[in-house]
Amino acid sequence: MIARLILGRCVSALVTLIAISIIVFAMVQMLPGDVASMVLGRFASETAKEALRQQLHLYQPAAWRYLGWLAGLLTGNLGDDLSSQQPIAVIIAPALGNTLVLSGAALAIYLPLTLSVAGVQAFYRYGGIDHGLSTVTMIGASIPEFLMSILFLVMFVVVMPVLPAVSFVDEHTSFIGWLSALALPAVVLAIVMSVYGIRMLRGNLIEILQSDFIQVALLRGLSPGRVLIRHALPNALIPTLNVTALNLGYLIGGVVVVEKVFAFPGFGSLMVDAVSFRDVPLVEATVMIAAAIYVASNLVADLMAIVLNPKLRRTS
Amino acid sequence: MLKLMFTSALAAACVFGLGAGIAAADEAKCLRVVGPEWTAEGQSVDPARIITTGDVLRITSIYQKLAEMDDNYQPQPVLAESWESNQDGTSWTFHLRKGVKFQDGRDFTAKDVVWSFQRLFDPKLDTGAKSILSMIDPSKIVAVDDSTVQFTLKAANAIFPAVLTTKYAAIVPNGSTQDQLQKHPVGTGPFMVDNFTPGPKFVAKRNPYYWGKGEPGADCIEFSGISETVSRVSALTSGQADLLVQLEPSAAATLDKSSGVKVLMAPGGMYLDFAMWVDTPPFNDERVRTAMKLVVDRSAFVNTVMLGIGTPGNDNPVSPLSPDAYQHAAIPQDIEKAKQLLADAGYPNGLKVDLYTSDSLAVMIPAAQVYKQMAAKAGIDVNVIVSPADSYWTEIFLKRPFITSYWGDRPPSEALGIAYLSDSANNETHWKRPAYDALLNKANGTIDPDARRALYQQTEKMLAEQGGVIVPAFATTTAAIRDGCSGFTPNNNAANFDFSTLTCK
Repeated sequence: MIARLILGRCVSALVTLIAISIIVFAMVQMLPGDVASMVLGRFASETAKEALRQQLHLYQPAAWRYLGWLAGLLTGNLGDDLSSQQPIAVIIAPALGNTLVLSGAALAIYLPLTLSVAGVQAFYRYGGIDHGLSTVTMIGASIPEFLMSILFLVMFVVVMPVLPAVSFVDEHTSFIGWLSALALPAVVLAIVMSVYGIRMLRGNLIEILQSDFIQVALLRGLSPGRVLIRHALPNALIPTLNVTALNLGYLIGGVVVVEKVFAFPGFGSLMVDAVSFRDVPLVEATVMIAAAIYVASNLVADLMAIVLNPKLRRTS
Repeated sequence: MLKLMFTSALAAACVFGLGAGIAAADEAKCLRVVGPEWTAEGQSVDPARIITTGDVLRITSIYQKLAEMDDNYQPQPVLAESWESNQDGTSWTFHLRKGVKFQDGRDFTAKDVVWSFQRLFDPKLDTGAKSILSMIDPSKIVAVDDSTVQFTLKAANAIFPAVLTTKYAAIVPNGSTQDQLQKHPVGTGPFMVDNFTPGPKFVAKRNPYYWGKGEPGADCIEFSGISETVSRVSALTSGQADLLVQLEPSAAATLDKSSGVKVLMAPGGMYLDFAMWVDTPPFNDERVRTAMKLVVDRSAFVNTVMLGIGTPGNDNPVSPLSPDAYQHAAIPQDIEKAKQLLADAGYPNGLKVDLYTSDSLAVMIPAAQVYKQMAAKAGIDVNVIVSPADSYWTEIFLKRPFITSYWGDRPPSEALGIAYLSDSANNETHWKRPAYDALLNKANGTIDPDARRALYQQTEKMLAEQGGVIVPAFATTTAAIRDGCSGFTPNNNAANFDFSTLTCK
């Protein structure tokens, strides 16, 4: 029963990925500008540009090129980057690694932050603390991440110089260096994500706290705190998982703004640069990776929900 | 639980603070230079291909040219110690500096110079150098002996050594190809790398064979770019960077008020322009073009678009500050005359035009908007169209009749030709006047400096009065350095950097 559900989810994820690959390929083909001029530079000779166009099979029908690219993807060959002729995997790996570490740090801050703030709000629901925290999260949700990044930068780099202005990391950075580089961007990202998670979790928790089994637990004499943490929270977490999965997709591909402000060499910046330079293979590879991570994290969230919630297992 | 959270937060804060301190201490020994942009893509260490700021920084630290331009457009000796020409300026001989070695230990000789220039004419190599060096006949570059090179030109050129200071004319070892240089760049400059791989930073170490005594001023240099202005400025004020180059006016204004840093300015810099196609209505009527130029209040333009850090321009690519300028005072705004000219040309009720711009260079958008405001006073309705930056130079530049553009600082010979000669590949105004070409070529071939200057002035006047380019302002190339560092001077030309004397405590 569960196996059929899980299989169904996996198949639909795969279909989604294939659909995404077609859309990505088509959109890249539609980008304005002559690829050869953009990659080789304005002053390149016509023969050099023609050679590149032949090399990229630009005169072949689009469907043929798409299939060739898809075959390459499935066999793990992402192709070579156009401007430096290096294998794309070599170029993507450090940037993706950096972004995954940053995402991990952001999630590590986001989870306790969301759980504690929503927990406090649900515990003291409808009181002064609840309203106060709601206002704060509302303000947080209204501040764009760009502005928030700059505010934090000014606060912790200029006004109180405790953190570095730029979050450069490379293979020589020490562990401590990583921590200080990640501090500001991870905090900003965690706050940006948590404002939605907190509101959702608070709503769920309050709803559950008003249900019968909670009343029974309280009547039996269990302390309100214990009831909240041991009985209400696990039930309320499941919808929050979905939100977290969406957030993960955002973290991988959408944090380019935060990366630019803190000069963090991450995956988002690589994607944007690839598009600016019309480095077609790199664009396609990075967008597919971002999409795959997004789909995969949604799949994991769905599967966890199925496993954790017995009620869902009976649906098919 | 609260207590746990509080103590762990405190511990984390201590760790981060410590980390910042340690991280800062680690990096103290490399000079840290930060530019306004850094692209992960297309990083070049071959002087034949220079497109981004990153390329310029990398290449000016590794390679050197025969001569370098000073702020008076006079070439100063670098790898060439002296030069002279024959009677009519068709043949130039350069005497090279002796005792110079490349970064891999081999000696620098005339053969390297010959190769460096000949390879720029290889049709398989894509480079912007070809049009700038078009007066060179590649088959007539000769290594007379180990330290003498002779160029025989296609036509007389009185200022050839100045032309050789173009950013592309760096000297590479004899026989090196682009593929080789992209992996193992070898030059004669103050810094070097063993292997090159593209990355978010570029770190180069001291060249042990460098010929400058006591130079470079540091064991290593590190280049990077931060596109967000606030971050870049904070990096300098917090001591994480030593030098910021190609600073925009807003950052310069902020840093001026900060303590611990100093703003450095060159006398001049690049210019902004609006280019009209002179063969397309309504701009094909010279009265309309003149009206479009007369609406500009040039000093107001400098104060608004460039926050005062610049010079008014006079509709030609030579700055009014230059001794070669045909007029040093800024052309005054004259709205009434503009309206009159438009009426004479058949537009008594004003004109409607589209002006394209983009944020490819940040000031291009405010420039277009300010022009729109100024032109409105004469009844010219300018519709500003903002186009995406990454395709602007392939889709809009040279493809639309009225655009915003900019050009780097160049000596008059190059500046007056690169976009305005009849056969120029970058003729952004479709200006084709044989009389202009003849005048400029004559100027370039005139040996006597005073006669040459007079001819340049005539050329500028012709372009300013009849041409299709509106040049409202020149920027001032600006840099900022933190106290504790010294030995850097920004050059008018934002592609000329000399890091050999930069040192930091």
